[in-house]
Amino acid sequence: MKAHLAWMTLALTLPLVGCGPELERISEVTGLRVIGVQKDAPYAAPETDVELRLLWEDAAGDTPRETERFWIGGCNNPPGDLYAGCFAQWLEALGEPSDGNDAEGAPGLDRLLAQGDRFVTRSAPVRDTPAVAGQPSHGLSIVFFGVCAGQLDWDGWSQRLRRGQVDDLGSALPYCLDPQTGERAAPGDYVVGYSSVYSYAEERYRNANPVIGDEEGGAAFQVDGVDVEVDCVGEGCVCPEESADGEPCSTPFPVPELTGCEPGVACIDACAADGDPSCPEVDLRPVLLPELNVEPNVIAQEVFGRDIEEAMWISYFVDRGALRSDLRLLNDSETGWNDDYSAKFYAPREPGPLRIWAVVRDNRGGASWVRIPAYVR
Amino acid sequence: MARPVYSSPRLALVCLSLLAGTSPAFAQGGEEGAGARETPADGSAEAPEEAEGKPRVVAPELVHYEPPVYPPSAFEQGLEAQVRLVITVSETGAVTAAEVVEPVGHGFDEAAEAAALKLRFEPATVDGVPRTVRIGFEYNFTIDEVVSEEEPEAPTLGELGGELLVSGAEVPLPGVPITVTDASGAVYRAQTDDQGRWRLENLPAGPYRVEVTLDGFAPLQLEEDVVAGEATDVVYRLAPATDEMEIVVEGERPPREVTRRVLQRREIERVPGTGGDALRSLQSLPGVARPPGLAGLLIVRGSAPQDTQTFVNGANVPLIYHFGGLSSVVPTELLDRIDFYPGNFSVRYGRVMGGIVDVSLRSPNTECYGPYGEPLTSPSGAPVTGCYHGMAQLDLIDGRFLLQGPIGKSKEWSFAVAGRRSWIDSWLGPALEAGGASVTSAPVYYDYQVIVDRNAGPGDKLSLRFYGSDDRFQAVFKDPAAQEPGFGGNLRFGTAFYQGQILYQKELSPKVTLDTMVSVGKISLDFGVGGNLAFDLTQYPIMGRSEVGFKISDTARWNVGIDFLFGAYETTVRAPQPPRPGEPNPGPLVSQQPLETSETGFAYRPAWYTDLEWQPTKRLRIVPGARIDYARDSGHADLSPRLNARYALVLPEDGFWGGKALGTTLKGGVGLFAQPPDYQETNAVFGTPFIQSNRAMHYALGVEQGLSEQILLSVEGFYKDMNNLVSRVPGDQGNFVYGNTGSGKVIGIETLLKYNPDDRFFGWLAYTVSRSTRQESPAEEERLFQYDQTHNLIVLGSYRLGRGWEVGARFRIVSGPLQTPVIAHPGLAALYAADAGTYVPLQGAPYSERMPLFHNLDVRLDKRWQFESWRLSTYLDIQNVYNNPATEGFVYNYNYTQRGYQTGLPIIPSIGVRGEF
Repeated sequence: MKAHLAWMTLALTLPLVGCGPELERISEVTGLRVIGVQKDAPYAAPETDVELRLLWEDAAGDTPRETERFWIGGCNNPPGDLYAGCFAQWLEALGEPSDGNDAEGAPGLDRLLAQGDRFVTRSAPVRDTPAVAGQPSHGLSIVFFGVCAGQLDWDGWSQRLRRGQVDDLGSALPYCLDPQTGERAAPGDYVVGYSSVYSYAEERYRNANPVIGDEEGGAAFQVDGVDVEVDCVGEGCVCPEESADGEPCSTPFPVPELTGCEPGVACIDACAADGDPSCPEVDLRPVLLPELNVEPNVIAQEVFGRDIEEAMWISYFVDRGALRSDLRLLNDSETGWNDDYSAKFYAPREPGPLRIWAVVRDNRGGASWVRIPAYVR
Repeated sequence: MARPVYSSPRLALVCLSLLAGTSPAFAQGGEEGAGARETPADGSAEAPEEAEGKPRVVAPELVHYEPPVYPPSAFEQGLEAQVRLVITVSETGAVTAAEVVEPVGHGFDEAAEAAALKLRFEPATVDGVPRTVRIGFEYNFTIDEVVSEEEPEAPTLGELGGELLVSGAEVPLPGVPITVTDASGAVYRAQTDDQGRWRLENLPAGPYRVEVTLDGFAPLQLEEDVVAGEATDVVYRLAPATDEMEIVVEGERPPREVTRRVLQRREIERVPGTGGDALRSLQSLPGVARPPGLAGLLIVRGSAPQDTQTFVNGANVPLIYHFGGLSSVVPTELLDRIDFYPGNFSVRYGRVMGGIVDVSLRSPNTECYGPYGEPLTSPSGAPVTGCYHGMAQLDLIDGRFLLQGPIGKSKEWSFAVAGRRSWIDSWLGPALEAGGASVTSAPVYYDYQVIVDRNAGPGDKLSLRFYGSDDRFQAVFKDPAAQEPGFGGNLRFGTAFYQGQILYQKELSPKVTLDTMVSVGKISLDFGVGGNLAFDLTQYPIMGRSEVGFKISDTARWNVGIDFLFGAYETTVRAPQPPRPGEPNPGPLVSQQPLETSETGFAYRPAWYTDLEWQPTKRLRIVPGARIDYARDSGHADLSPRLNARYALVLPEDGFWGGKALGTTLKGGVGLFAQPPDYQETNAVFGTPFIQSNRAMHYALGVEQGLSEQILLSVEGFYKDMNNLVSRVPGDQGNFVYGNTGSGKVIGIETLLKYNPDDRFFGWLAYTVSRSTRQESPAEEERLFQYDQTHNLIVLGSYRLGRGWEVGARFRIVSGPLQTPVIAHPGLAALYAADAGTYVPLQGAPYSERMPLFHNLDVRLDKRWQFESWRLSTYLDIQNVYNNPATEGFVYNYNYTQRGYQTGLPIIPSIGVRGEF
């Protein structure tokens, strides 16, 4: 109890201290970003196929760079449900060192790796005993992914794993190399992450992704309260397995180029203060209905008798201008729906196309998103 | 012509002993009349009761002097004598017994006894309650040759006189005795008239010491020069002494602990940067680290905050600060003293291996004052204000009041009622709303205290106390926490406790004392964020302490006691497992299934202890002891033997240091301290049942050196060797479980150079250098502990400027806090936790990077106005005057590739107003 009180004290008082420098924010897409990862079944049935979709963007230059995207699966029910426990399973999948001649390749690599913006993994079997005392048994499959604006060094990775040259998490993952220099790419040019796929035998514990849009499948986004045209919603924003020319996507799924304020497109006045809070606030919000989204937290209800719902929140992104609130509460587990979930946007100085993203997540692995083409005039 | 002469009727009482106390020292009685000359008495000026800083002791005051009859035969023979008596002054002021200490014969003894039995006194009081006391008294039988009725020609005579006023109010003080002493020790007396004026004529030229002492006022002692043929006029101002009542803050209280440090109420209320908060003043003592930000954590000698426990009159309280650090749950006005033991505390305390803070609530003040502290009438001749006292205060955070006084006329029963409520809700609530939050319950706290005391006489005291505290805050934040958006936005925080307490102290016999405390109450903690992080606890603790002390001999006292804690509890916890230091960050909660447990149970932690206070020689005091603790929740018992000792290398009376009355004391201690695992550490869901207690061996060795009457230097080295620490280790399933694999070390030196308060100034310099390390398991490397603070230098002082003004300052230089840095790994600093949409940093070695040096200056200004029947005071307390925000940690950009310093609050002014009567 005393330790909890100490944590509570720190939690309460540390926010009271503090100012710091203004640093780069996740919502301002000025470089390589992973916007989100969606699973078609956030809480899945055990030992079934689950597709993961990667939404990413590269705004470092005028045009997106060539990138490599990868997925590493093969990690089921790691000890303690911790992602750090995956590395031992990877090593097992890679097989034993082959007479020290590791440079020729990693024979087990294919069993783990995939490339592209989509990945299908097999959900983990449910454990025999609950991993978390007092809760229903679940399975957990952890999938790693990455986007490298350079060249991935797979050989080096497998060698490090096999030789036990893993000093920290950074070296347990593949390196992204600058193709020009062969050195490791800058941190901003490489994003590595993970996503958890929980599986439950009981169907009532499963979860669905949030639904963006109204009941008729119509309006999905509003700017200053006006319905605007959306570019894509959910899976539609993700590069398909193969593009029209039969090759995997190497750049983000293209956004229609806008040359002006076309009908239906969000049109926002430029601001001379260039994204400063003194600019007029523009209200951005996806259309979200509580009746389509709010789900009870069944496990908490059944096991602990706590009548709580999923927590839901929205992350906003823009590639120009600035956001006042880029992370907004949508549904609180205890107090319920928050209709005041808009983000406030301050327009940039320069006219031209603008992209806006909103990602809706819940705390049981669900995610969905919407992308908006807009124009600053 | 010869005549018998006796000394002055004024009783220069120098040492008071209660009936059960030690032998009295002696005062002298003699002839009546202002300006009479007497030989000053020697001896200690401190009553033993006061020396412990406990009750307020007022000596009996002689109101009727009875001269003895000079034995005729002795007078005819020209014999002189000095008769020393011990007299018993009853609660009514009558002398009920008089015993000659050393008979001198010739009829002097009988004459002195007969006269002494006719003396009348104002009775002595302890905490305002009349007490029967024994005091020393002397009659001097001398024969003077009266040479002439007129004073001899003295061309070198002068005058000394002036005016005596109440400081601040500038109101004259009538009827106050003035004592003037010349270089030879000869004493002259005067008394102020209705206008507060006084005068002594025909004083030989030369230096004099003027002393003015009046109940309710700070004593005054000044040097003056009388010039031949001139009249020296002075104006003195007495400062009311309500704030002079002593609060004792002890490093460790002798004789059962190693060292002792004393802070007076004036010091505690005036330490700059604390807002007059008593417990915050502890953070200016050596050995106490600066906590991060506004947190009210007590980090003592390199221990974790939860290793130090806080008690109110021996009963553990779950929280000592409102909202984690805004202000103490017990207001300073209601404190009697704070016992602070940073280590090597006696067997009376246990269950922790850090330090102990034991806050004692004061006994109600039943003193009956006139408007300015004079006992009878006000300057205008109005009736006395009475025996009831009150205080009201308002500052930027809260408002408070205190009422106290006797119940009925006898003063046997007394009461105090106090309360406080914050009003930050009136401005913080709207501010949060303006920031976009939906405030369900604006932040508010209150606390309350009720005390009823019965003082039935020496060694028989009963106190009934009820106190509590309540903090509440709830708001829905529509911008969730960036690192944990899955928690949701509904933040609720509530802590409340109340305790009813009975304290009973009784002298069962002259050699046996009983000291008992029983407390029954309720603790309620309610903390949650969005339903996904929740900690709810309701507990009904019953705590008790009972100690019996046996005086085995004049040099030994044996104490034996029981200290128990038990009670039912209900708890619900929903939270992720916090990562241990060095463990890979498990990522946000949404990528983990939270742990949850709801249970009811019964906690039971009894302890038995005993120790021996043994003083084999005048210079040496040794206190061996042992304690046995049992914790039902962990199923383990711990035996903790301890030994503390003090040796007076030089006693003040040795005159070793250039003939000055300065002492040198060596002190030391060694002992074992056990701390049971936290409840969640033995919980089946969150922890590992049946793990054992944390253990620490405390070693301390130091020296105290008096440098002058006012200045004391104390240097103490300490070493803590911790083992069996509860730590998280990999379990069979690859997850983490708790085990007793941790260890740690703390080593340091504390230095305190302190100027004890006089009528103008107090201050100290405290410097601590220490190193605190931990090791999670033998297989892992030793690392610096999270709360390690290498250097901590504090210099503070406060000076009374006069006319009610006082100014103080505190300067601190402290090593910066430790942080766990993000690995500066080329190419990758963090993982993207896709299910939360946030980044998980790849952390480096735990607590391996220190923030820059912290330094700041706090300034405090006080002004007091004294009116005829009440006093008004105000203060301005400015923290961080030169606006040097503390560096508390790092802030990072979204993917941990950029970082900057997170700084603390800038300059913070605070102002308050208080009225009291």
